Amino acid sequence: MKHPSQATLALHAGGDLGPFARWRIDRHLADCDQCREEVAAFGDVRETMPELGEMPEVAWSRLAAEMQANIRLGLEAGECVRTGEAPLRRSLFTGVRAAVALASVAALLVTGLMIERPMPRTNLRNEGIVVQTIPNGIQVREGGQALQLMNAGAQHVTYSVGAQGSMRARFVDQETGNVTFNTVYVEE
Amino acid sequence: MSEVTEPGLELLERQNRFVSENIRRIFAQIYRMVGNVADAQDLTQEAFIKAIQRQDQLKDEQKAAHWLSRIATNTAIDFVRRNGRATFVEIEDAPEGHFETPEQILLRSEQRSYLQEGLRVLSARERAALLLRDVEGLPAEEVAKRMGCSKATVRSHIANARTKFRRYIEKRKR
Amino acid sequence: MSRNSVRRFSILGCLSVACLLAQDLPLDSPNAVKFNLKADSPVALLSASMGESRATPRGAALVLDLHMALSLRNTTPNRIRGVVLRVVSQEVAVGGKASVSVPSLNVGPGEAFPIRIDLQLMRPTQVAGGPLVEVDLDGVLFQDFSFYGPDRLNSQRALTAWEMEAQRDREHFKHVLAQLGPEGLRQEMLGSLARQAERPQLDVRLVRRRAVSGVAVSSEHTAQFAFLKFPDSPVEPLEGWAELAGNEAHAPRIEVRNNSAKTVKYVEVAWLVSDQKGQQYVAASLPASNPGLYLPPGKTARVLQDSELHFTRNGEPVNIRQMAGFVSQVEFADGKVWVPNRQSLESAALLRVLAPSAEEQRLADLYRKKGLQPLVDELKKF
Repeated sequence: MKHPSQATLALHAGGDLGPFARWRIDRHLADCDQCREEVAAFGDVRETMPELGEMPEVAWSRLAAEMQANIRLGLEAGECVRTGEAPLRRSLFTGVRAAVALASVAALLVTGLMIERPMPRTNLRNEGIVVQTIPNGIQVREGGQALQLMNAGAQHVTYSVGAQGSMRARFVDQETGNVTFNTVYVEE
Repeated sequence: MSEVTEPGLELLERQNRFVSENIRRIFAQIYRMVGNVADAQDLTQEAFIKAIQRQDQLKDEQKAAHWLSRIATNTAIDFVRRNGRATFVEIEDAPEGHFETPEQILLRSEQRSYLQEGLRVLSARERAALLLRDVEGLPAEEVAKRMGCSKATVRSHIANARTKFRRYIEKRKR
Repeated sequence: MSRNSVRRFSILGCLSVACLLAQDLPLDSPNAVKFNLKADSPVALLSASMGESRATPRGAALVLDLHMALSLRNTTPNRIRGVVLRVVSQEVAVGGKASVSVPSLNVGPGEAFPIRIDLQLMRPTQVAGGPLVEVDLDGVLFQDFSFYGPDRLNSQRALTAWEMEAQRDREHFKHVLAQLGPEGLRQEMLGSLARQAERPQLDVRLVRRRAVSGVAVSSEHTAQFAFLKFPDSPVEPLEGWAELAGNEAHAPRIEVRNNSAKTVKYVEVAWLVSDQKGQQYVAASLPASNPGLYLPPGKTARVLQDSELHFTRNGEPVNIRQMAGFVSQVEFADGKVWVPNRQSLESAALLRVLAPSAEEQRLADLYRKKGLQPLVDELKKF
């Protein structure tokens, strides 16, 4: 008996599968104790998750007031400036935070309010989108995902590249006898 | 004589209202990701400043709140990424609750610490997807919007996160 | 084209879950593929089968193999010469789309014809709701060069160019048959097959964005194009350059002039490269980058692209020594298309380097499989 993957069972436990997939898994679970136990185990873990949603034990009113004051100071001090120094940021907002923020406005404005700004998202895979031939077909790929058109077993295949971002495979389909062009394109 | 509010004051009031209406929700959202109050405070402030600096977004309050959540999610993700998977958990000294014994408060804190530790095994995006889906209870489509990725990618993160988190829980129980 | 409601055919009927499944994850078959045809479509979907389609887990990913065999029928009173299907997948977060084009058709009114689509999707593990793939009719070209379809993939231009090449080459073979008889045609076909077998092919990989942000590779140099000019070409290439570094090339840019009396809206330049031994290959086609090109008579324009090309052959890098180019396709503002005539290609010794037209390949394949008489019979149909 073939079992669904852990990932599928994890999704099923959270109700994250589509209707047909869910029906398929339910059918399997009806006859499989092992997978039923897996789903139950995922369900048990999920039941503990709401605890993560609880607020920490803090004096909320004071914390909220402090944050609002710091936000106001930050807006008045001007644009966000990026730093790489987390401790510097922390030294402004931790420790005697309220006192520094509220009582030392002039000092903060002079030194500048340093708030770390995250780097803009970059494409860590510098390659971008790739079109290329693969064994028995052509592919448009980005990272780990790809869309591929296969040559359906054709023997004599001609490949051509469009420099604007396309790859084409031309062959005579052995079953239909028709010349067929498969093309993959980079989405504009 | 009718009162005329200066445009600057009106803007200020709108900004202050925007902050006060959303600050608890955003703080909680970020706290779940980073696991400690100090970082959550800094990042909450940062998210609001970023959001308010684009003031035209505040005109539609519903959109602004949604957009703020997205900024908060990304701010937290970026922070977790920059600081590796390490988070630290503080058990804050807090005033006693009215209805719980000190022992109960401590036990709850310990349980939360234990779960927070489990989040450390996840990548930043897995953590965000899991919290948005299983803690905040958002549907997958909404999670995808918040995280700025496709539904397919979100489902991948959720599946991986649940699997890893469960593995952590089961190891700790042994 | 009037706005008609879209009729969607979900490919269900022939599907059997048992025959879909070869691995442990089923395809969500009720919505696996959606075939979109408008009510005024000139083709009707007669049947569709999914054959041996399956989903195969590979590590954390899933590979979806979709084998679709479609049967379409011409519902118009005109002969169909070509069809383009547009294939998209919303569930794959990849910046790409695909098409399956079948030119060189000769489908009469009411006749049926087959199209096969063999598609693979590499995607994350979970399959939850929504069609995996949608297939749209992007274009149909008729015998009189009239066209139907949304034309999102420039199908009209492509199908028209292919049909013009098809007519060019069919006329050539018919002429050979008329002048030299069946034996002459046989020799011509053998020559075509030999050229196809001997034609050197490069493996070309195209990257749409440069990996390095504007930093030149140390060995990179600017190389100039040498141009082959055809006397009857409406557009003349004037000068062009590209950056070369070993087996990589990028930023090709070519200046062209419209020497015709009509406004041109599209130009394509064929890009040829030579390796260190002087062997010439087709590198790529360079379309005009501006989709809204409007080139009046006598005016010049630039054809340029920002892609990066990598050349290998049998797994080994092929360092580029020289580049050449020629205008391979022109579309006028009135929709007419120009392609080089066969004599120009022969005199420039390009037939050995260029791939044959789709029609020449089809006729040669027909000859290879069935012999001379079926080929003669086929030529007589046109």
